[in-house]
Order: sequence, then structure tokens, then C-alpha cells
Amino acid sequence: MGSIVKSNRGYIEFVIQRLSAIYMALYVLAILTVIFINKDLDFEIIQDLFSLMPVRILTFFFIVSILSHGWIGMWIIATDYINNAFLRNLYFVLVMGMILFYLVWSIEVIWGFE
Amino acid sequence: MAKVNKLEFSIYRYNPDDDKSVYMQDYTLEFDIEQNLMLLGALERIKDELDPTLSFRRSCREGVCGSDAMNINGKNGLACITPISSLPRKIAIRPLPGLPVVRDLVVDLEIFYKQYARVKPYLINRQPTPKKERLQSPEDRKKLNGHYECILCGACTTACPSFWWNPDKFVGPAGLLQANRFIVDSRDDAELERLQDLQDPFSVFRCRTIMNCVEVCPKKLNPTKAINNIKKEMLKIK
Repeated sequence: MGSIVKSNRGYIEFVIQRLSAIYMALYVLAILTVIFINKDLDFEIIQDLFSLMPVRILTFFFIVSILSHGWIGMWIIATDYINNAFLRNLYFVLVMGMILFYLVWSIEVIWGFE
Repeated sequence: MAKVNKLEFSIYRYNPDDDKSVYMQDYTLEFDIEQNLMLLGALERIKDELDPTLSFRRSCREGVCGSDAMNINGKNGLACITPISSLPRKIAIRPLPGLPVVRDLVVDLEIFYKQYARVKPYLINRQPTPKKERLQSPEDRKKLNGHYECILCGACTTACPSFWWNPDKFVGPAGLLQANRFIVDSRDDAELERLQDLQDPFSVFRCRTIMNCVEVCPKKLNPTKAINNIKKEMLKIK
């Protein structure tokens, strides 16, 4: 029982998961609305849409929401099922590496680094 | 003439002094259908008539003490209030899952009670003691319904995978039901302290709302609802 550390981390993660889920749902709804409204949707319209700074910022927050939501979920899975400390830490490093990779990659996709 | 029927039991056996590993032992019991036998009665007959070495806990035999909680055909329940007529002819009995087995159907509940103790299951009131009693309105008293009836049998907590994976960190449904019982009690003034004690990633937030606890509770209580109330109360903290 000595392993329980008093903190509010669980509460903060709980709030982040809910808020990120709501944000992701709203973002997906907004994108779907754009798709259904524009019957002649083509590459140029999509490119114009994502060249707008507000859309880029909202998309960046969408990526951050997915990644933070995913990290919390993956952390919970590991602390449930992986008991070996070495394997668990290895898993954390791999997942965090993937998350950082996706973050940098999505920034590149959204802002198009040359 | 009595209508006799046969029941086939497959019971988990383990004696740490003699057995290298666990095994399932089969018993066949004849009983009178019109007797309205409960599962506990059948187990007692097996112990009396077929195998005195079979170990299980029992006490009140009427669903009040919670001693005879066990896993009956894969679902936790109390043997004393489970009618044989509600079960198929083949009955598999195992100890409560996720806890160390002391012997046969007897489990070590130490970690369960430690988690229960963690939520401080008693009234904390720092106001001066009144001359007679701490009064409570009928509305406030109603909030305790669905909590105080818990008999701490452990059926819910040991049906919860989150407890199986982290029994030393996750309080479990039974403990959290009692935590909520004192959080909602108008006479308790340690609500903030109680909520802050549960804000780590494991104590309450490891509940994934799969509701196994609700499914198995022999008193038909709803620990999931209580756990969600704890989370809601946390959101109100400024």
C-alpha cells in the first residue's frame, strides 16, 4: 500500500481525456460538415481551407488532442498489463517516441516545411 | 414421494500444505427438488456427506454477513442466497478471483480490507459535539440509500479487472461505494480531504465503467454510479 502517491495527476488526466474527446468530436463534425456542404470538393478547395491560419491552428490542436488522449490511454494500458519494469519503461519510451514523431510530422504536414 | 435430482459439482481445490497446484474436484449430489435448496446448503451437504476436507466460509446463511461470496459458474455471488433451481445441473465453484487463496474456496481478503480502510469509512466531523445527536434532514438521509446496505462481501471488487491488475492501488468498487457514502453524508465535513485523497491515477480513476460490480452485487447496489458521483464531485472543487 506504500506505493500510492498522493497527487492530482489522475484527476488532471481525466479532465484532459474528456476535453480532448469533446474537441476531437467537434473538429471531426466541422470537417464532415465542410465535406458535405461542398459538393464539388477537390484538392484545391481542401488546400485553400488548410492554408487558412485558424484552420491550421485548430488542426494542430486536434493533433495535440489525439496525442495527449492517446498517451494517457497507452499509459493506463501499460500500468494495467505490463508488470515487468524494464518492459514497461521500454514501452513508454517507444510510445513517447512515436508520439513525438507524429507531433513533428503533423506540424510539417500542416505548415509544410520546405 | 420426493422428486430426486442429481447435481454435478466441479469445485476448486487447493490445500497449500499438500497440493503442488490447484485442481477441480467433481462431486455428485442427490437432492429433493421440492426442498428449495440454496447453493450453500448443497456445499454443506457435500462437506457433511462426501468430503469433510472441503473448506469454505459461511456464517449468517441469509445474505447479510457476506462470508460465503464465491465464483459460481463464472459469476461472483453469495452461495447462501443463490437457489440451486437458478443454476444449471453442472455447477463450477471457484474462490473469488484476484485474491490469494488460503485454502479451497477461502481467500485472503487483507488487501480488500486495506483498500476499504484507506477511504476512512467513518464520519469525520470537526464541529463541537452536540448534546444529543447530529441531525440530518430526510432528504440528506436519502442520499445514503444505496450505500449503507453494502455487506462487504467482496463480490464486486473481485469481479473488477482494474482491481485484479492493481489491487494495491485501485480502491475497488466496494471501497469507493463507501467513500461516496461519506462524501454525500451531510454530517461529514471532510469531503474536500476525501476527494483530494482519491485524485491520483489509480485510486478511483482506474475504474473503466465496465460495470461488472453492478452485475454481481448480491444487494443490487450500484458502485459505478457512486464512483461517477465521486468524479463529478471532484469537478466541483475550486
